[in-house]
Amino acid sequence: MMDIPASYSVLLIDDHPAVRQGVAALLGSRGFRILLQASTAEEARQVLDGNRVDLAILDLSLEQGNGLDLVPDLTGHGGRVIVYSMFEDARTINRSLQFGALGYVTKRDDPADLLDAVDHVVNGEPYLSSRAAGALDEMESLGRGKELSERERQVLSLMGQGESNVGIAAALGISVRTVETYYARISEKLDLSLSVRELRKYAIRRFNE
Amino acid sequence: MDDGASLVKRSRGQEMVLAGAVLLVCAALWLIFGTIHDRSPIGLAADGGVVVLPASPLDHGEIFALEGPWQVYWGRLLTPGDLARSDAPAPDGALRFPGSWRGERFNSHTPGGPGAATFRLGLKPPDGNRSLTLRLLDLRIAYRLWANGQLIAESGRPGLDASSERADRSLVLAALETTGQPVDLVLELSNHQFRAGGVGDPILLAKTGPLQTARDRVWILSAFFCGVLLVAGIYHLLLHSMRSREISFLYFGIYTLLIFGYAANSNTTYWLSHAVVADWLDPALLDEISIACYAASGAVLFRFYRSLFPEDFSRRLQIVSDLRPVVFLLSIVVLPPIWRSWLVVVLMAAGLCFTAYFLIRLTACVIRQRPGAILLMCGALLLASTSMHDILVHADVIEGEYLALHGLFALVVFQSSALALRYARNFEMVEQLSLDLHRNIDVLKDEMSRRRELEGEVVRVSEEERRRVSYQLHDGLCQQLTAARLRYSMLSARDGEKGSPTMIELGRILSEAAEDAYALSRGMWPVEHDPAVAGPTLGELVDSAKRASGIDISLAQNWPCTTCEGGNLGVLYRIAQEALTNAVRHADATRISVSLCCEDGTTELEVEDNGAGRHLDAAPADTGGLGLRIMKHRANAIGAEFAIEDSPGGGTVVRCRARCLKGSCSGDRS
Repeated sequence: MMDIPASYSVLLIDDHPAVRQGVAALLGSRGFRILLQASTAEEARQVLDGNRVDLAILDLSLEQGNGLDLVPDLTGHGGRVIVYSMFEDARTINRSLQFGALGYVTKRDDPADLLDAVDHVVNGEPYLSSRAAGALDEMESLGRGKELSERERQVLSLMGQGESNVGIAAALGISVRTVETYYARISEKLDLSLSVRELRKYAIRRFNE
Repeated sequence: MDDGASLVKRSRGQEMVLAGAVLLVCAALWLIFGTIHDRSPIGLAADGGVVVLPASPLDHGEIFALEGPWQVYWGRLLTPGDLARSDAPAPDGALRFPGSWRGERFNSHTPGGPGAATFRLGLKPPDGNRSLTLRLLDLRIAYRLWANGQLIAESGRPGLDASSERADRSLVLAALETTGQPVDLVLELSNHQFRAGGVGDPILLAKTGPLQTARDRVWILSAFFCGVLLVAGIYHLLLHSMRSREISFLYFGIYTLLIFGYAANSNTTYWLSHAVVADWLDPALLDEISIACYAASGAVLFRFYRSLFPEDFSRRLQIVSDLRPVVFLLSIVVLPPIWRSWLVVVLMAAGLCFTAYFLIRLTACVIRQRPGAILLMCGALLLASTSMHDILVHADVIEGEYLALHGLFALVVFQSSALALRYARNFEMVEQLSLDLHRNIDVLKDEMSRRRELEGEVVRVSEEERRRVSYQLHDGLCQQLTAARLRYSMLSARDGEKGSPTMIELGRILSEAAEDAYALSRGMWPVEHDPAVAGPTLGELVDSAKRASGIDISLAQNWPCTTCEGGNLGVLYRIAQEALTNAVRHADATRISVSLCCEDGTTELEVEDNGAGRHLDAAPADTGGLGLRIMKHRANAIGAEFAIEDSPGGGTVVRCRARCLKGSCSGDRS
C-alpha cells in the first residue's frame, strides 16, 4: 500500500455501472480521491478534454465505440491504462499491449489482482494478471509471434505508408489477391486482428514510430 | 377430378357417339359402292331352246339373265363342231340357270355333285350389229363357251374326270358381236371338285358397258377394302410388337390379315386372281388360301374377343374354336377336293353358331358396361345380318348380291374403333395419373422447400436464442458478479471481516459463480459478442485444437467488414469446429489449414487436411457419420453449398459457401 497524491485522478470506463461503482468503491477504499467515470468512449473523451487523467481502468466492450481505440487517446494525455475486460484471449491481450496499455486484468481474476495492477501501473510498471499472463504464455509456447518475412515486412511497410492494395500489388509486382493473402499471414503472425482496416491502422502506427 | 361412376357414364356416352359415327361411315360407303345393285337382271326364258333378246331394253342398258332352260348333253364334253356333225347326239334334258345338276334327271342319268356336261342355248338377238357382253361367274368348276363355233370364254379346263380337269370357276366377261342372226351358245362345264356342279350365279347378258362397270365397281370396292384391311392389320401387328402386353392387338392384326386373305380372292369378286396376279399364280391355290384364311379367322376372332373380355368368353369353347382351322387344314392335306367343299359348309354352319355365341356374350358385355362392348356388338350384329342375308340369297329365298364383304368390313371397322377407344381410355388414365403425380410432386417440392426454410429458420432462431442468452450472461450476470466480487473484495479487506470463514466462503461462492457464468456463456455462443474487439473466435478454436492435438493448424482469414453482419458466422464456426474435430480425430493429418474468406457477398469456409483421405478418414459410422450429417444439415439450414472433396495433395477438403445475408460488405476494402 502506497500513498496516493490527493490530485491523482483515475478514470473508470465501463458500460456496466455496477462494475464501475464496484471498482470505484474498491479504489476509494485504497485512498484514491478523484474517481472519474464514463460509460461510453464519447463520455470518456469528454472527460479527457477537461480533466487530467493519471490512470484509466478500461473495459474493452463499450456500448458505443471500441475500448481499444481509447487507449492511444488516454496515453496521449499522459495517462496509464489498465484494461479490465471479460476478454481472455491472447490476441486481445496482445493487441491491448501493442496499443499501449500497461496492465491487463480479466474480470474473472480476483479483484485483488486489479489492485495489484493498479499498484504496479501507478508506478509505471507493466502488469499482467496471472490469467492474462497464462494466455500469453500459452500462445508463446505454441510458437506464435513468428518473425515476418522480408516480403511481409515490405507489404506492411507499404501499407504503413498509405499505399492501397492495388498500389502495393503494383509496387511489388504481385496480384491484389496475393497482397490480401499477405495481410492474412501478417495478421496471423502478429496475433493481430483479421480486419484489414485494423491491420492498416497498426501498420501506419508502426511506420510512424 | 372425375369420380369412377361419372367417368364410366361419360365414356359410355362417348362410345355410343363413336358407334353412331362408325355406323354412318359404313352406311355412306355402302351407299357409294351399293350402286352396283341398282338394276336387277331381267330373266329371259327359252322357248324351244331359243331365247329372244328384246331390242329396246337391251339398248337402254338393261341386264338379262339367260335362264334357259339350256339343253343338256349329260356326261359329254362336246365342241360346236361335234354338235354340227350329222351324227350329233340328241340332248338328254334341260336345266335352268342358275342351278345345280345334282338330283336332276337327264334321260336315264341322275347326277350327283360331280360330273361333266355340255349345255346349249339358242339366242335371237335384235336386228343390226351390236357389241354385247356375257358375264360368267361361279360356274362350277371349269368351263368353255362358244358362240357360233367361236370360243369366247374359258376358265380352267373342263375334263371328264378329276385328273383331266383343271379347276377355275372364275369370273369372265365374254365379248359377243351380233349381227341380228341367231347365235348358237355351247357351254362345256365339268365339276370333279365342288360339292355340286352347275352354275352358281346367273349367266348375264347386256350391251357392252354395264357389266364391265359393275365388275369394276366390285373390284374397286375390293381394292379399297383390302387396302384398309392390310393397313389395319400391319398397324396393329406393329403396335403389338412394340407393346407385346397388348395381346388383343396381335389377334386383331392377324384377324384383319386373314380377312384380307379371304376377301382378296373371294368367290364373289375374284379380284386378286384376275385383277392383280392374273398370270402368275394358280387360281386354285388362291382359292384354297382364301378358304383357309376364312377357316382360321373364326378362331382368331374368338381369341380376340376373349383377350378383351376374358371373364365373358368361355375358355373351353375357345379350345373348340381353335380346333376348327386345325381340322380344316388337315382336311386340305388329307381329303379330296370334293369332300373339302362339303367341309366348308360345315365350317360355315359352325361359324354361324359361333356368331350367335358372340352376339349373346357381347350383349352380356354391353349390359356389364365393358368398355368397347357396344362397338364390338354393333360390328358383330352387322356381320351376323349380312351372313344371314347371304345365306338367304344363297338359298334363293331372297334376291340380291352377296354382302359378306360389307359385313366383314363393318366388323373390322367397329373392332378397330373399339380397340382405339380402349387404348385412348388407357392413355387418358395414364395422363390423368401422370397429371396427379406431377401435382403431387409439386406439392411435395413446395412442402420440402417450406420445410427446409423452416428448418433454416429454426436453426437461425435457436442460434440467435443461444447468442442472446450467452450475451445476457456475458454482459449481465458476469458483469454483475464482477461487480459483486469487487465489493466483496473491498468488504473483505476491512479489518473486522478479514479472515472470517463466512467471508472466505462467500468469496469462494462468488468466484465459482463467476467461473460458471463465464463458462456457460462461452459454451452457448463461442463467438465473441463484440466482433470489433476480437472478431470471431475461429482463432481461439484453432488455438485450442492446436493445443489439444499438437497438429500444425494454420488459420487464414480475409474479409473486408469491420463487423460481420452476415448472420452466418455462428453456423460457419460450428461447421469449422466439426470439420476440425474430424480432421484431428480421424484423418491422421500432420497439417490442417483453415481459411475463412468473404468476397462479393459470399463467405467461404475451407478446412483442408493432409491426412489419409476420405475413404480412410471416414469416421466410424456411429459418430463420424453423424458429424457429417450435422455439418450438412447446418449448411442446408443457412442455404449454403456444402462439399467434402479430395484435397489435391491427398487428404480432404471440407468446403462451405454461404451467401452473406446482408448481401454486401459494410467495411472498406482499401
